[in-house]
Amino acid sequence: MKLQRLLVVGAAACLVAAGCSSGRDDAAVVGAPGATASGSASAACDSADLQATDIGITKDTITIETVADVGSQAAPGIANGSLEAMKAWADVVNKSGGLACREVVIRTFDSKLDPGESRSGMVDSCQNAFADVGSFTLAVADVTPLAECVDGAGKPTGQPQVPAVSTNALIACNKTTYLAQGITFSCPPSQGARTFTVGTSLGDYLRQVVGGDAHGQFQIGYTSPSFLDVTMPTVVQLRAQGLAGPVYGAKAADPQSAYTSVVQGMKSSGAQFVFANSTFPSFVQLQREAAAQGVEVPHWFCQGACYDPAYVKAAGDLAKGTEILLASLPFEEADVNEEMKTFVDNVDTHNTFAFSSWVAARLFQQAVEAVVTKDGPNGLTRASVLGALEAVKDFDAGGLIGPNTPSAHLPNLCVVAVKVGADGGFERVFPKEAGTLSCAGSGKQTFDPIAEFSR
Amino acid sequence: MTMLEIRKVSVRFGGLTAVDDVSLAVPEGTIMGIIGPNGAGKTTLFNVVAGILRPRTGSVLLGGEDITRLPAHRRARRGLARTFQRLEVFGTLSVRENLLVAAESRRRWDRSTQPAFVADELCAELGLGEVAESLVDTLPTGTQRLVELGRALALRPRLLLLDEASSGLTELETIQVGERLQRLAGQGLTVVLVEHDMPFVLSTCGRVAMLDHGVLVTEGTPDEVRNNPVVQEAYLGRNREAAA
Amino acid sequence: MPLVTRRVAVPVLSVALLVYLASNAWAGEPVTVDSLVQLVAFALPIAGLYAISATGLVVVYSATGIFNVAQGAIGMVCAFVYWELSVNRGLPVPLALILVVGVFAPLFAVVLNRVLMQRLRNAPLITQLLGTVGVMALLLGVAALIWDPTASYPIDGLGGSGGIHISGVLLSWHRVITIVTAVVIAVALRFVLTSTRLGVSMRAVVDNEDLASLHGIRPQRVSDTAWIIGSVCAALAGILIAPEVGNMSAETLTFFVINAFAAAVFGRLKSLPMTYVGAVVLGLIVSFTSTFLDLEGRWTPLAGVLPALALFVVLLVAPQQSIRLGRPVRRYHIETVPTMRSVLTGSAVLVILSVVAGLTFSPVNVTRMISAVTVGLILLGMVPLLGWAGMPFFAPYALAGVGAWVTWSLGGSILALLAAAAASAVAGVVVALPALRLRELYLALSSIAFALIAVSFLFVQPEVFEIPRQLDRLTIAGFDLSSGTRFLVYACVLYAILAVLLVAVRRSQYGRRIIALRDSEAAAACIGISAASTKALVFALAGAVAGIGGGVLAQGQRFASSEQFPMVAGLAIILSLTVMGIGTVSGPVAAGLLGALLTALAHDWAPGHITDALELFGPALAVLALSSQPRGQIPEVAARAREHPWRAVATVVGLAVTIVGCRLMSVPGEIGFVLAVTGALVARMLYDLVRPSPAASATAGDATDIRLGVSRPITSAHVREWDRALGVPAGVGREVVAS
Repeated sequence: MKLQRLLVVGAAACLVAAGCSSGRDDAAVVGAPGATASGSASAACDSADLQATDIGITKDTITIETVADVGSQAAPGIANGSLEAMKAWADVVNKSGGLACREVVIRTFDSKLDPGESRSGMVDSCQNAFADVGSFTLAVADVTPLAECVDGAGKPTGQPQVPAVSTNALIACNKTTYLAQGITFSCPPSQGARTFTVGTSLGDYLRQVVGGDAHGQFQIGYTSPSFLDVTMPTVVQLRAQGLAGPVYGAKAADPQSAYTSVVQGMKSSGAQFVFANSTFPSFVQLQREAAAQGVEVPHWFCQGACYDPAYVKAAGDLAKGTEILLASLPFEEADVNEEMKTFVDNVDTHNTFAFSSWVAARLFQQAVEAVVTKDGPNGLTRASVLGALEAVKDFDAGGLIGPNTPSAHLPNLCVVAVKVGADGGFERVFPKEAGTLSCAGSGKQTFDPIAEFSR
Repeated sequence: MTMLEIRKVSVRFGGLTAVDDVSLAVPEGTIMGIIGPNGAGKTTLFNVVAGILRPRTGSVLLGGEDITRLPAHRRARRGLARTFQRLEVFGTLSVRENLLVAAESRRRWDRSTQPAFVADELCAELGLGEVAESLVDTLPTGTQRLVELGRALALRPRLLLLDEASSGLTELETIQVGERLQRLAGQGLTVVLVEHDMPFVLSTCGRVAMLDHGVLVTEGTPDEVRNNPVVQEAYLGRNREAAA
Repeated sequence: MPLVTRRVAVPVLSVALLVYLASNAWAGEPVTVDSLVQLVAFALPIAGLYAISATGLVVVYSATGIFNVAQGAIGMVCAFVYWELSVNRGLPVPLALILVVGVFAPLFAVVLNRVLMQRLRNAPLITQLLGTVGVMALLLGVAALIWDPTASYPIDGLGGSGGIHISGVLLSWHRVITIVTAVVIAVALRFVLTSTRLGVSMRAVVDNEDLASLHGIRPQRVSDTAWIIGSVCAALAGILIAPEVGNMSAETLTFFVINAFAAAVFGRLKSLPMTYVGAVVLGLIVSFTSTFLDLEGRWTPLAGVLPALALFVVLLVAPQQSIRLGRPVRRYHIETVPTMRSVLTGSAVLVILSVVAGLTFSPVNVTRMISAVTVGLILLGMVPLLGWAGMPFFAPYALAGVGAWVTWSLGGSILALLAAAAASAVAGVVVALPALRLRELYLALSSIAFALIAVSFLFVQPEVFEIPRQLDRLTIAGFDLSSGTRFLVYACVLYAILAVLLVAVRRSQYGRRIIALRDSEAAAACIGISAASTKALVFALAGAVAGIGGGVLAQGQRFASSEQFPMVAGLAIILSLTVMGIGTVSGPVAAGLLGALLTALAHDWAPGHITDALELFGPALAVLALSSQPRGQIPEVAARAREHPWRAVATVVGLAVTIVGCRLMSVPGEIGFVLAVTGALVARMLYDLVRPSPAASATAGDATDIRLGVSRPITSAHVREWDRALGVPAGVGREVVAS
């Protein structure tokens, strides 16, 4: 089980790194969201007679709960970045006047990669916090404590949840859950053949690099059949765009020898590219095996998980020239995007956990400010925030991600490509202009992930 | 009526022949003693009769019925009970429970017996009343042997196989067991016992058989066997004592 | 089924299945001389790894009688130390190898043996196996502490890049080295074990330790040597396999050894040559599958469970190892049979406490209590199986999973729960089939294999848990049970009912029969008890209760997934149960609550380093507790409380007073925890000062110590013990028999 968790982490990282939405080609919006809103609110704050309008809101504070897998035995501290990002966000917000005129207090809960504790975290959140924001729980399966959470007035409105990531269809499709970077699941959750929406910019870019139709090898992280829901849609879309090839399901426990036959297949078919959506250790194994067998592949693409100095260290020379596909701005571009600068300056850990939680927090902040603008600081209730979250359109976290409407339950459609340079750092290669993302369009594919994987 | 018939039974363990073409018949109500030096195959023969071992050749008949193919637990239902050379008791059950288990087992095919009654009666008869509630593991070996005997008797068997029943018992206890067996034989129980205690065998048994190296050397009344020169040679010294 | 036909039928069936699978899943690779050569060339390094691991297992087992489940964990630690030296500190590879294999591994083995393993030598099998599981958990925890599991540990293979070209594919130097190492170990060990004095001594000690020690062989030295050999093999296996897995992960390295179990059993845990043959066969099967077969769809996980399946097949076919002569027979510990009154009282107390807890605890802690009682329910099913029947079955979650699935598929109502009980009873009987022939260690291994196959293959089939669906709220006759407190009470009521039922069974003739079968299968057969039907009954009972536990889990979480039933967690909860008292019906819920208590302490009440350390060293403490109080904590504590009730009261009062005092003075949680424990101990010491307890008497085990009268003095307690064993009535002369 724990191996699955670590693999899910990597895949989740891919998910998250691939988190844009609907089809605009525009460049990013520059400027931190909400700065003006709180500026004008601070004047209104002094004159307001603040009340405790719901659970987790007092006249001075607004309590946000973040549940994260930090204390597990298998992977201690894995989601530390999430907590750090949430606390940094709270500091930034509080320094500029607070949220809805109140001080943001972050309440943390360690879910320990355990379904029981993850659920306990939700129970705790429902009981003690206004909203659940920035949570990173991989082991959670059941979302009823949040969905059926009773508010201050005793009505089962549910608790607003803006998590950092979702790896479970039930949670992604939950009516009180909003994901800032989109979801890949089809809602309502079901089995068998169903329709997935996938961005086409990734395929367009890859075609551009390999030069049109091409034949190669796909690799996904395979932990269980349900995980195919997350990983297969991308592969199917790429195939539909003319990039053909077999798919190998990599497991964390696979020994090196398991890759021998994969590489042999690549050799005999003359693979022109490799596209991987697995954890980076599995990707490194594939790269190593290919090198050992003397198989030269012109293009190595790794989605998301390889955007990590640890990958470069692990792969050594093999990493050079590997292209990494992201779905959000690289951390290196703090000088071209103000929001990225704010993030980089306030959060020390630059990884997918911290980033996703930060973006989630900003979405939540935007929804709250929308409520305050309409109804004033005392109009803040769980129900009203849920309404505001539902109404958010084209949220782009200050240009960090492509515009996404959380309530539309669409996946991220954007792509940014970086390459591992000679010095081991990441250099942007696409789109050429720094601070931009390519979010061209989307396609619909109808298939059964399990059957597709078997083909 | 012949209660137990062993027909041309042979048992081999790898290259070793433990029991070699042995045939024996035990009439109902007899106490048959099986003697012989160590390694003669006595316990092996017992294990074949009891169903723990399959013979390579030959058959075993109980009351005329061929039981060679029956597993051990089914033979118990046919009325075959045994004790073991290396004491096999239910150590973590009490004395009474040991007897009770056997009696309850019997109840599955004989509804007329009341297990609790049978257990209590046997406890009293064997003089185990005082230790009835003690766990058998905590009792001395002699008492454990009595429990084993009681457990076998609780099955109300037709045929009782006793493997070195007197080992670990005091002289008095041994005599008591001998008397009890004779009483039961008089009531129709057939007993076959493996023994080293010659006085016990010669005084209790109605017939004696001797095995040596897996072969049935001789069989007959105690006197006949005692006076058999082959037996005398094997038991040099003991025979003279018993005769005295 | 007689052994001969089974030995023929099972392999034939397995081969037939393999052929069927192969024909359906053929990858289309042409079978040429080249590809066959490749097959063998790639099977050999895999076989080598299995062989080295299995050799360590076999040597330790044959010299000490302990089957070391922690073998892989030892290898894992050595591999990480090697990484630390050669990659992190930059030492040259040969030096690092010598330091790890030649210095660290032997020292580690000796320390491990003397501190922990030795205590398990004469313990019952279940205690022994779980003790090694505890050591494995300890090593995993320590490794996680020293080497952060979220970091990556790239490590290069030995011998550098390049290698030998075989039929167009490259056999890396590392793999060549693996093959060579395996061969060298085989030859070296054969020499050591047959031709050196030490090796022969090892075999003597196996047969009769006391006799061997009287002849000048020192059992301590022999067991140290065996563990050193085992540890060196583990270290080599760990170092050789580390570069083969993508990222050195403590878990992967630790559980690799399970793949080697099949090879070890193939050699009947005593023959090294046969172990190697088994390793080669297994390597060929694995290599064949990855080269020629393309397992798709639902069959994808099959590749990962092949070693477990192989283990299953080998266990069924292998002749059961014979009972060793001369070893002390491992007795089961004498338990008192619970009275109906005590279990009814306990049940009432449980339900009342659950109401109190539900009303006073925070919702989070109520959720934790629910988890604890759910685990308790699952473990309750293990009590008749492990505790009463003495059958080492280590797959509670597999049975619970069946129950969870049925409950969840049928909508999660109480009726669904009853159906789940029936279904998992049937599953239990099915699982009992191998148990009818297997005994002791082989049964334990087969249950571990089954647990792996269940969770990695059966439960991930699309029809089982993969449908994303949430259960409705649980109601009974319209009354809503889904809120925290109500569900907790519901779960406790269920537990109480099942506990009472189980005790009723234990006290009935069926219970007696189960115990009789455990105490002496031969004697039981001879009084008409059919081993097969009794075992099937126990398994059915265990399945039903564990299935109800699984169903309650699904009802509580309102969701079921394959990840709720991992194999290792199953081993861990059985370890807790054994520590608490494997034959008691209160042990399961105590084990569950212990876990909940630790979590609550670590999270809410006393977070900090001390509770973290407690969680880390918990498994080690469990091993120590097992070896010193094998009956389990609950029977021991209860016995002591019965003997000295006021002492127990004093301890509890001390604990309570300290906790209340700390709360009132707002002492931070961690310190409060330490103070509370201290307070309890102090209170007990004070009581002892005021009313000294009688001196501890020599236990029965002492009286059979061979060193009595030689290097240990004989006391009157020993004499009393001997009198009792000899049947000498105290104070009365022996009867004189009239001649």
